[in-house]
Amino acid sequence: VAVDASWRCNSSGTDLGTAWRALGYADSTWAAWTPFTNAPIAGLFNTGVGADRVALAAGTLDPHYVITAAAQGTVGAQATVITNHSAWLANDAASSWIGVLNPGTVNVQPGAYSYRTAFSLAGYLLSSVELNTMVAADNDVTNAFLNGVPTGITFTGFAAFSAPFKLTNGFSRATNALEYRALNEETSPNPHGFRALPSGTGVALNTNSLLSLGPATTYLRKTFLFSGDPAHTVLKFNPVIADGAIVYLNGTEVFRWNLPTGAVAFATLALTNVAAPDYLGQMTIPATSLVAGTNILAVEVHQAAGSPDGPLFGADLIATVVPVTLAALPPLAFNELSPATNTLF
Amino acid sequence: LANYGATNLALDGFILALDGSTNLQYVFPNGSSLPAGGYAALTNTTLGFHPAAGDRLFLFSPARDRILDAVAVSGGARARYPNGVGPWLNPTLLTPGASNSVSLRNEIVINEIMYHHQFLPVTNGLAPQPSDEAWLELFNRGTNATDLTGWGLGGSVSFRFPAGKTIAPGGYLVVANNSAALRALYPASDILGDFSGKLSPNGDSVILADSAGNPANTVAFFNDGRWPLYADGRGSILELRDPYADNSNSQAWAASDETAKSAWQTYRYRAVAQTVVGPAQWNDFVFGLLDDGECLVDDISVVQSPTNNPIQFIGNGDFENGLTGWRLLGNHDHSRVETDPANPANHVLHLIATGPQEHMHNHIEMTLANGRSVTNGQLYEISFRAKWLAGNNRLNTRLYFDRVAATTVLPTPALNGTPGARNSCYATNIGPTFSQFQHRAVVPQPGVPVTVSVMAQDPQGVSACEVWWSTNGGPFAHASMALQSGGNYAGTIPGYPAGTIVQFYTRAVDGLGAAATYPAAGTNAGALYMVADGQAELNRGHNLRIILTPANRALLHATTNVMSNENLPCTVIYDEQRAYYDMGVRLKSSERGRADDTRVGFHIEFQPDDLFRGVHPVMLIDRSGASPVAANRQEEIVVRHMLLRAGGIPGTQPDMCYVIAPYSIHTSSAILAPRHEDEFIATAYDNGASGIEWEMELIYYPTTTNQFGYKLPQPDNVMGVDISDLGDDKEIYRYDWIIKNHRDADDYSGLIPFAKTFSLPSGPALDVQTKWVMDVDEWLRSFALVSLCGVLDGYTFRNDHNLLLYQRPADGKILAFP
Repeated sequence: VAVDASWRCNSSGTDLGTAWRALGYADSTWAAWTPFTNAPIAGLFNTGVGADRVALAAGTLDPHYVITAAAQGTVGAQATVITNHSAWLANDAASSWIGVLNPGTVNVQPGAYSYRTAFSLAGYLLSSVELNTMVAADNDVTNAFLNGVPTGITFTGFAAFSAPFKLTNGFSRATNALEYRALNEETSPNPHGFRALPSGTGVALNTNSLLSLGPATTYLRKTFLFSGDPAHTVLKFNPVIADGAIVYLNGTEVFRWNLPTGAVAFATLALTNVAAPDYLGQMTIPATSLVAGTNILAVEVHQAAGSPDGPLFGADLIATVVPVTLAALPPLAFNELSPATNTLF
Repeated sequence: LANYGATNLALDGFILALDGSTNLQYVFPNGSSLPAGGYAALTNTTLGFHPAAGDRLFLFSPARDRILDAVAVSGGARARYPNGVGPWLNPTLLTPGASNSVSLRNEIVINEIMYHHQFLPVTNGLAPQPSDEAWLELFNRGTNATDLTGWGLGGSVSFRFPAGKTIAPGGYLVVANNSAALRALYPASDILGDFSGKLSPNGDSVILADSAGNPANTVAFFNDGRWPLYADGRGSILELRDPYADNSNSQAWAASDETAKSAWQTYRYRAVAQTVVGPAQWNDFVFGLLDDGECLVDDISVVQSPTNNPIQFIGNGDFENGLTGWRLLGNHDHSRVETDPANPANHVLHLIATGPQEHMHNHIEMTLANGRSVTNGQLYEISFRAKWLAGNNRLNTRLYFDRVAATTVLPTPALNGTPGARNSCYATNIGPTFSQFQHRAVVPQPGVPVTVSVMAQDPQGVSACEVWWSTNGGPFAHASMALQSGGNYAGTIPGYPAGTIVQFYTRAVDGLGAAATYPAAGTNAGALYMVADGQAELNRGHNLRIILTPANRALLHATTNVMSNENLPCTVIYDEQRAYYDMGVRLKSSERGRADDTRVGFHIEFQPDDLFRGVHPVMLIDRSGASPVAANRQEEIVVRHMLLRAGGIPGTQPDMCYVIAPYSIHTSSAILAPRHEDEFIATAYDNGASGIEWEMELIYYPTTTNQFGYKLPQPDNVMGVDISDLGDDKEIYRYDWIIKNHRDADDYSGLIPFAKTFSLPSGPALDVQTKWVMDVDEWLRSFALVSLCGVLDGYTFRNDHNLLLYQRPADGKILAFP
């Protein structure tokens, strides 16, 4: 079960008791609900392209990259899209070189040149975000800072892109700043340019499917097929919850979070409001109720008192086979055979 | 039926099933039972069916989910011996409901085995030729002559002894695959033949059967590990040390000592120094053997301009100042200076190589004397005296990197072993031999004692047995092991805290006072366990826990030793349940990766008689995908499986594993894969094991040393060369295309024409020649997939490395394994 799976959802405000947790419970009339989606980071752009992600004409300003350090040129200005030097990787439809002066054959002062782009991760689960970037520069990329923190990205070369660098932490739900720091080498003016291909994905709230504030408890159901041996399986579970939830596997409670211990009623409220839901982190849940064939994962999601947002739930559930340990065989063996006689074969 | 356990066994519901022309079964009724050590006789009347010859019988658990035993019914009476657990033998009489009656002979033993003769000496510049010489020597250790009428050899060979043939007490009898040829070599020996069948060079099984068809002696031998390596085509043969010892056990065997049959010779050659490929970073003299082996070396000399203005470049070439100036590196570091066996006033180097020499480490080197440097274009003369002792006989000498390089083939004796005579390594009493060595629990919990058990045997009986152990490299303690039922000895090691490394071995003394240890290397062996430390994660794939002593762990990762290819003794614990003792481990990766905590991997060598999953002698644990930018994703495995499945490109089947490394900083997910040159090529291609494999690799070379002159792995430089015509001298190809198997032949005759093809200009000749030397279709498919997957760091993209070349025996064409 993946976090972007579709669930059956009942937020009618009716107390369903306990029968709804069972595999055979009829949920066909419940609404389909897909609260999360894997989505690209919309605010990330390659160098030298417009809002339509198509390369801009040389000499125009890159709307997505600001010069934040420059041995020559204006700090704070938008970077200029430039025609590539013949020794550089050629511009194409998806990205272009940028710099402080067009074209790329123009000599500029040696020294540091930095280019910053910004993007929003509002609605993303930050722990799921992965950002990849390839870079090229005349002459060096000496680092890249994500929200002011160095990432250690370095690369030298303008004839080809670097291998992809991957960033998985250091993000903010609000605006993120990714600043590439480049160096134009040598001691006298010479050509300089910078080019980057940043992209990223993450698990984001599906804005078309969010539930509004409703009853204290919302019911969710998700069936899945399991073809392995439950006796030799570990279940790894990584949920996203707002505000509290109890999870049942084939009717057996396997996980509870942000709810009081003991019996929980339809009207029981979650202990605290979760303002910025994210993955709770992978954990192991009991697999004793897992069966070969069809299984049902049933979840009751509870709102906290005064919660400003509707209920939210999603989870990655991964079944992993663990090595089988067989008990010793009973010490019984054939010991003697005589097929030649009528009594003892 | 037999209950071979120690307790009463309830048989309620157990099933005895017949698989024959009609499938029937008998279910044991409730209340049935069999006492410990008891027997139950069942007739066809009881069973309700009568098995015929060729039928099969099965014993199932009541739930029919376990098979307890199975047997094929033959036409005659048969009985297990020992009862319940032994092999099926021919009984002297039927004993239904009672212990079996089997008579076994034990006076004739297999005493010497020539199963893989070394290459025949080179003559007239021809390539070395394989020899098919194979024979077995029998020895009568009894006090009476034995009549071999009706006896025979079985297993992988077949021979029926002629009627009336006898062996006198203390006498020898040789059986050969070509008896006439062997008699010509050893006219004084009693030699019979010819046996049919063939002994495998990887080890095999031989059975001497008596006239009743029962085994009188059985030897299942292997070619490495606990068995003598030098007997595997390396100039020695397999010899039984003590004819009264249990010769089914590796400890009873040794490689024959052939050292008295070789002689000192002086070798001298001249060449003009030139750099074709490779760096000129260092001014060193370098030498080493191309594979496991031993030789004596003395009077090494390197002279520049030997004719007109001779300048000696070597100090202490005569080893009279010990090892002063010499650096023994990696798998050559067991070498030592000894007194010359032929001249007590002289000292010589006893070169010991436990693996092939190479350029980064794993050889012996010396910085040239007086700051001298090698000058391209100058003439040099390299000379030395040498005498082969054992194993590989190819001694490579050169000036760094590969200038003035040559491989000298040291003569080896043509006649190996002592057919028809006492063995060269004969001993009157080697002490007890051991089997079934184990410890439980395999990964003990903190504070919980561990039981070590072993079967110790000796013709004179075992008078004492002990377990010895050391914790975290400390002093050894010991405790008595008590005799258990069945002949096993068991002893207890106290419980220790989490993470404690415990090294252990057993020691036993026989009735005459002779002692032996197991594993044989005792305090230097690789039997270890680690008290549970919470590192295991069985839900992240198969766990492989590598345990070394603290000293060897430090050596493995020592900065000036990371490039060592010497296997260090270790125990590998598989899934926290199965212990593989006395394995060998070294680091795996390039000069850059081995020094990098995020990338370093492991190369694990298993015992031939305890292969990983029964087939793999070596498993590679690759962590290179754990570099910071890849976030420990090990994504290479995806490409590997795309090559296999979508690309239809043969290769090994990699799997993910979780390695619990000697240092926890290296514990992580990793790719687990066998090597191409082992089981894969042997099974993927006709006669595949005979094909030669080369690894195309860059030349990483260090640029700094420590204060003692030992080179540091980092920083380094790297250089490579495209596949191209580099001339006819294989020394120039040796380090960019590293030979991976059959190093005793050192045959580059398939590679060089292939490489030269790549230098042909476009045109018909190139077209014809490529089709002749390579499987063009396989290459195109391989590199289409490599390109499609965007593989960043291999031949054709960025760097000239990470490519295996394999010459397919069927047609001699080279295949590419990216």
